[in-house]
Amino acid sequence: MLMNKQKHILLATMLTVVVALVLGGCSTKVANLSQEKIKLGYVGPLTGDLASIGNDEKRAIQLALTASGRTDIEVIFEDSHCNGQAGSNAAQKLVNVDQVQLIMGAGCSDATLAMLPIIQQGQVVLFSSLSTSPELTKVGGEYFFRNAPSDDKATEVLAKLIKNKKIALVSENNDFGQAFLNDLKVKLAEFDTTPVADEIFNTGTTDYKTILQKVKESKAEVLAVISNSPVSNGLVIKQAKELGLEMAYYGTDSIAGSEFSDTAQDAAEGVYAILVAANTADDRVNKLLQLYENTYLEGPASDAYTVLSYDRMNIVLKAIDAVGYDAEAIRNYLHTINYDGLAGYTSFDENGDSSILPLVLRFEDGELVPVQQ
Amino acid sequence: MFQVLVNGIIVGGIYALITIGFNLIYSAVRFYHLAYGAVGILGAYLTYQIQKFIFETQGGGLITGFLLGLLISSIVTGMLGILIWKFLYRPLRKNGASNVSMIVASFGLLIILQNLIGLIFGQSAKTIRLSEVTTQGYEFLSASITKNQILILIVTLVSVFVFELFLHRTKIGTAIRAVGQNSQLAAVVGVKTEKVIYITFFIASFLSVLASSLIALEISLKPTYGLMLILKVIVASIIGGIGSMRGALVGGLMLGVAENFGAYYFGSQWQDTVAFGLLVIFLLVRPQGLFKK
Repeated sequence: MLMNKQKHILLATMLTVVVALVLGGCSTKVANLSQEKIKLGYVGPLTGDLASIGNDEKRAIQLALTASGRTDIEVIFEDSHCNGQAGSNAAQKLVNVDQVQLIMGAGCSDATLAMLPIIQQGQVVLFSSLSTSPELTKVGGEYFFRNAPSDDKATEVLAKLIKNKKIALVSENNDFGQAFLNDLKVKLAEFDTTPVADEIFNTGTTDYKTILQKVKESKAEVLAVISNSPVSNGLVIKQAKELGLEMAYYGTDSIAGSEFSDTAQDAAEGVYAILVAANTADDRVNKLLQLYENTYLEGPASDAYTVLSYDRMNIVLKAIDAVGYDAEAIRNYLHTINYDGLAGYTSFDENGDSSILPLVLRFEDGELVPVQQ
Repeated sequence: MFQVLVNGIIVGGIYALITIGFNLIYSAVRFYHLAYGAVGILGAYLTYQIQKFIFETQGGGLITGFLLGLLISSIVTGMLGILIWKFLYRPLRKNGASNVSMIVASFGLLIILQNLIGLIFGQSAKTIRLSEVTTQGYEFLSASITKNQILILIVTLVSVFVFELFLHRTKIGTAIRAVGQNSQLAAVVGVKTEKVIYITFFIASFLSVLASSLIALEISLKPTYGLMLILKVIVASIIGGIGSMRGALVGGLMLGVAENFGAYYFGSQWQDTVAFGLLVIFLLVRPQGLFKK
């Protein structure tokens, strides 16, 4: 009796597996025609040091989806842990198991770079609002897009600002930091400027006093902090002030948002940042930030990335509406758009880089305000 | 140069302070309680939350809030330490788990705690402050040192002194050491082993909150700091001699100073290489550490 029951269960399980395999084997194109939900992928830093920004991205996506009123779309969120290995795993799952046509992501650039071979092979669109490594312009391939500006543009702006000065560079030892650093040094060389100090720190470093001591000894007039960690930026600025370093401070886009200012607090005053910024003169931006706060009972860690991720979701929705949920059609469509979004007008060049440009901002009374150039 | 030494001593003081409690627990149970770092960080988050509550809604000062927060969270986290022993380590021990299993379990707990902290308090960094303005430190023989840093050094020195006396001059301290050396024999001669371990976990967890809250003044708080701290603690504790209070102080200071001179001469990206290089050298040359007989 018991044997029989076990046999039945075994048979039923096997049948289920076979049916699942057969159905799963059918291509997604077929799935699109049925009543199934459209599955989009997301890969970003949902845990770890940059989790606050990944969280912003996720929430912005959810807000945009809710605002669109579309219930036929589901986003599968995967964690990149900000590293290549996890990013690659997430891409494998989304492309091969969930069979998505489009992935929003990734961040950080390390993760995005690691995902490229998988999305290229699977012919899936990868659309990042967070990866700014210049490397991606070169190796992104035809399925890669981003509305976060390449650091190439940021280094150009920064080099023009600080040329011909005594410059100290403090950079993070990761793909982002080193690509930005090398690019900046090349751009500075064009102005015959060589940095007087060039210090590198490992990700997660919390004590910068000895690096800053070397910066102090170099008698630099300008300190540029190149790191995609808001906390590292904040700690460097705070400890520099405690050590009595008097110089102009420049930072990258990670300075935007509450995490940097919470860490640096009043030491943030006067710090310059080169970044794509949420234009708070635009009413739509303020509305979004307010909606975010009302929904999640706290403001975003980074206004800029919230806005970019929000724009991205809307661009994706627009694309799906226009050409359907098909990677190739979406790819072709994205090259034709000029989308009026919260971050400005977005269009894409042949490398998938967008028209969004970084700005120069300065901390005044705890707020980042655009600097007139 | 002198500034680099001062920087090393400050960071070393931080390492030493957190190593004391770790060594205390090791003295009683003889395994690495890796979740210790995350326990301390959890306590520091509580301190932060209480300080924020008092400062923002009750009109209290930052320092009052900090002290009150520190007191409450140290006691609460001390209790948590007891619970960790009672519901995780003790059942494992009873089932005859080896020290390796205990370490694996404590590592699991570390990860769980880190994620819980992220879930409860959010992933973004939190800063504990004692004043609303960042001030330049005091100039002292051409080196700069801030009030917070002086506070950390004083608390470290006092803690080392107190716990050294506690372990060697009090009945309960002797009992802790006895339980660590041979818990069955200690039980035979009338030491209440269980009670001693409870007390140890309470005191050590209490201390970890004190240390972590002070650290938060310097480097802010992130859920992932527990792992970073425990790695440094292990190095400091092996250099100094695991289980020794003086060892914690000297090990922590040596580590801090070595890291900072390493950063100064080779660049900061080699800081961890210097730290773990030091660990390897000690493991090869003097595995028992400086202060272990």
